[in-house]
Amino acid sequence: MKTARRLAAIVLALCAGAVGAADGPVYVPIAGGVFRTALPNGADTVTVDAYQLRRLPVTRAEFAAFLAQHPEWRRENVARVFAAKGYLADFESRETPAAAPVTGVSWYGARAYCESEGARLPSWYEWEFAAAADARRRDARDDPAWREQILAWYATPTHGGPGAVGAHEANAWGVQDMHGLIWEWVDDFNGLFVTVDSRSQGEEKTLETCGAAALSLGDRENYAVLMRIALLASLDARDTVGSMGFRCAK
Amino acid sequence: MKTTRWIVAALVAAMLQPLSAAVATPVAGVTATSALPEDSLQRISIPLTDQQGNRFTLADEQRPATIVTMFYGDCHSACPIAIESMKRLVDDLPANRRTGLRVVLISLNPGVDTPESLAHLAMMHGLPPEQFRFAVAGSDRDTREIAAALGVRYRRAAGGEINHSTRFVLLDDKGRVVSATDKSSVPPEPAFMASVTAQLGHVAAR
Repeated sequence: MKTARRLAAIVLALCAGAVGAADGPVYVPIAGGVFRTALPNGADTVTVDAYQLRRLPVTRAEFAAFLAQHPEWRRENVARVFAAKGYLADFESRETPAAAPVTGVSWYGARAYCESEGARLPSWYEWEFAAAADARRRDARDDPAWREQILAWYATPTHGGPGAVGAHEANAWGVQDMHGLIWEWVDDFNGLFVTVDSRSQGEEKTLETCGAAALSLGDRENYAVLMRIALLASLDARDTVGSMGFRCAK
Repeated sequence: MKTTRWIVAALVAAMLQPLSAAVATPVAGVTATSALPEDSLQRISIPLTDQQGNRFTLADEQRPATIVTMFYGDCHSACPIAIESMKRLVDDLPANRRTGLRVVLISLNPGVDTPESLAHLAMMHGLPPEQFRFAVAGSDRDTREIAAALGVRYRRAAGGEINHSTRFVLLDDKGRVVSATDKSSVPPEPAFMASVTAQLGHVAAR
């Protein structure tokens, strides 16, 4: 019975997804609140203001429509200062479905896309806040089973790149694919470091130079989130990663 | 056990991927929209205002050598050292070479740092606008883009402080990065000083 209800919910969500794709992107409201973060900023909790988050990552089809409107962001036109060599390298591949998330986008490209949608990239705290939820709970991070499930997703090899968006069950906020599909850009990726304080001249240890520092962070049981921080902290704005896409926020 | 091994592998993979992206050699000359080099920071079109109220962008900085760094006015720890480091760097140059260089110091704190407060700061440090251009962008969004382009990392902390890396980026007349350092010291780091001198000498010899 419970399973049947859940199945019905999934089917509904998938249908809504199809409708959403035709009518434009769906943003869901996130209430915000006081939040225990993996990246403490002087205090153990941060306050996240209410915001809206894109229910799904931006797809290849959506990014193709953006490129038609903004040809300056096409692979052959973009200046190297805004996008490394791997930018949209696999974008023309026919193997990957149009409903798969766009990947291989630089931070600048992701930012420009969100701006075209009247939105912006989420901040790290906004991303982390929405990603803490499982299907029923807004913060499931203390549940070892949930953490294991996320890790199991990452451990599953993806052949031929990520599949279509929206295949995972929506979380308690109604957001999908926060885990298990792609890495995602955040607007303040270049604000993610640990003990950075310029007063400690010469001793400054950032995640960029010291990956192990991630494990001394606040939410140390949450490997999936710590890996995200480690990746984001190691990137430059022009870098592209084949398994990294984005979603927007308002 | 299996999980642990996997986590290590994933961390390694996560750290390696961006490395390979970083070492990729830039390919120049793909349908540039202007005469600027592909990797020129002069393509960053964020509008800035300096301590004299002049509007400009990085494309307006076309001296043989430009050093760009970021700081904020209420910073009483690292920023005075950074400013002093740049002052010393200019002082240590031969007088006839100084006009080939300008130091651009961009605020991490738009809205709080203003042209007026920056003018006051420049005056307090005895830094002439001809050689030291203090500047501020119009928004946090624009400021983050400049920081991203320069490789400066920062975030706002409680109590109005801004945690940030101190970074100096040396650009040539076309906005290409010649060298950069994350070390802030007085006197400036010898290797960085040498690259500035070389850049000015290189131009003088041309």
